[in-house]
Amino acid sequence: MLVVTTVIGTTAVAADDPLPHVLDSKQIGAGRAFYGQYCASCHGANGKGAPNWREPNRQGELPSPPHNQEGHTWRHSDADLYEIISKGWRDPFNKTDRITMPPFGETLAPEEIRAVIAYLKSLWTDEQRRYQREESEKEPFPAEAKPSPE
Amino acid sequence: MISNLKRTKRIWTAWLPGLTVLAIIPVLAAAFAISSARAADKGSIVALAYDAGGGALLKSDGEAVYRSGNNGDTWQAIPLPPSANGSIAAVATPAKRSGVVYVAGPGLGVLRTEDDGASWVALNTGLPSTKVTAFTAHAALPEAIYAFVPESGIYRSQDAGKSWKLMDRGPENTRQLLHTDMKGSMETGWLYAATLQGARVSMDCFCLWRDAGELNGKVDSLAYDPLQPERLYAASDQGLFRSTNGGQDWEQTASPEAAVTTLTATPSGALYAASTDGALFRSLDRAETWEPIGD
Ligand code: HEC
Repeated sequence: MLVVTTVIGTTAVAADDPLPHVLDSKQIGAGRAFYGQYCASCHGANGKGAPNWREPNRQGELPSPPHNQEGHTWRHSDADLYEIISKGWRDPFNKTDRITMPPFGETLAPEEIRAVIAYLKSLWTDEQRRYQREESEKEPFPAEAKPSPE
Repeated sequence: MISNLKRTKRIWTAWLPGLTVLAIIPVLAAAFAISSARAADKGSIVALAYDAGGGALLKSDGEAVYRSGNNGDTWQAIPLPPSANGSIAAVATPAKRSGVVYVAGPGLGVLRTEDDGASWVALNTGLPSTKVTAFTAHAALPEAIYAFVPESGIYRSQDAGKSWKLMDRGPENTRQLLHTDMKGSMETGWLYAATLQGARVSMDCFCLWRDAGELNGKVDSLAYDPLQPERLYAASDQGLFRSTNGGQDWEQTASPEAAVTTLTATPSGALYAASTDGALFRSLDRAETWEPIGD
């Protein structure tokens, strides 16, 4: 499983992606490091997610979902991913009121959040990336997170 | 793509051979409306919907749609095109539009009329077949619609049916779909499915389908209160239920005497229920009490 994910991640970087700036290997490398530091404790190594993430846990909270192709991160536009990561999230059906997905808007700079998202994108299939890109056409990253022209 | 769409359009209007016939159609339609309204009163009602923009209740007996602007006193038929070869399973109206009616069903796929059935547009380009068994319109976005094709899954269109995208397989044995704009979605709202084994719910990102509470058994229909989208109603083979928290918890409530097959609610929160024997009821107090409507 671990091997498979790694292979897919690598191919994604190497593959001639129609929009190279979406998957830039330097950005992904930086994102992978941020991910390891801030996200892996909950979302698991290589974005594999918490066990039994589809069912609420004993506290009645949804566990951390995977970010790889098994999960549903790819279903969210850039705007939505940016918002979830910077502002945090709780599922409205959770039995507790706490924000289970912590906000990172104070911890990570906009370009760091973008780097983490670029890393998450490297974990998806081509088809999932295409879907997510289409979703993002109308819902791109917010202005504050736009990359500075190089 | 575009040329395909034009072709489907032409098929549905091809039965109008000329202008002369066009002029006669309204007369014929009116006559048909009167005669079939009677027939429809007797048959079972398979679908209800409310055209909020036009202030009209819509019902279907599976063969045609009927519109009533006076709370069920009189009905005007919205006949399917004569070439239609299938039965209606769902009727829905888009948000923020008036007089636009979608019908869907096995053999029909998805059809839309904007002139009370004088002409129809088939919206099946991009669907795997016309075997659509459940259908709903987005609660707030007028161009977004959802169609369920049993062997394939749930398809979403964001351009009012011009193109479709397979979103996921959808819950097993889905019988009816409902979209609501309850708060707290990662996307734009929530999708509910009435199934043979209770109700299921997912945010409309199609992230995760889960049980909507513990409704057991066959759920025939779900409806929500647009004033307070966390208020849901469910008609099941165990009776009528309501929820005040988006379907996490349900309590049994009063059912009009007959077995309810389909439900719908208006923007002001009035709830309509129809039964297998074609009787129609309305509740103005959130399913506490019911009154029969029409004759
Ligand atoms: C304290 C544990 C925790 C940490 C740390 C954490 N998350 Fe989460 N995250 C969650 C939980 C729990 C959810 C599920 C919330 C829900 O749906 O109820 C979630 C959900 C998400 C989602 C949305 C769900 C989806 O569709 O994939 C994204 C995106 C996400 N996290 C990204 C991140 C990123 C990126 C980081 C690191 C910067 C991170 N998370 C760190 C617990 C955590």
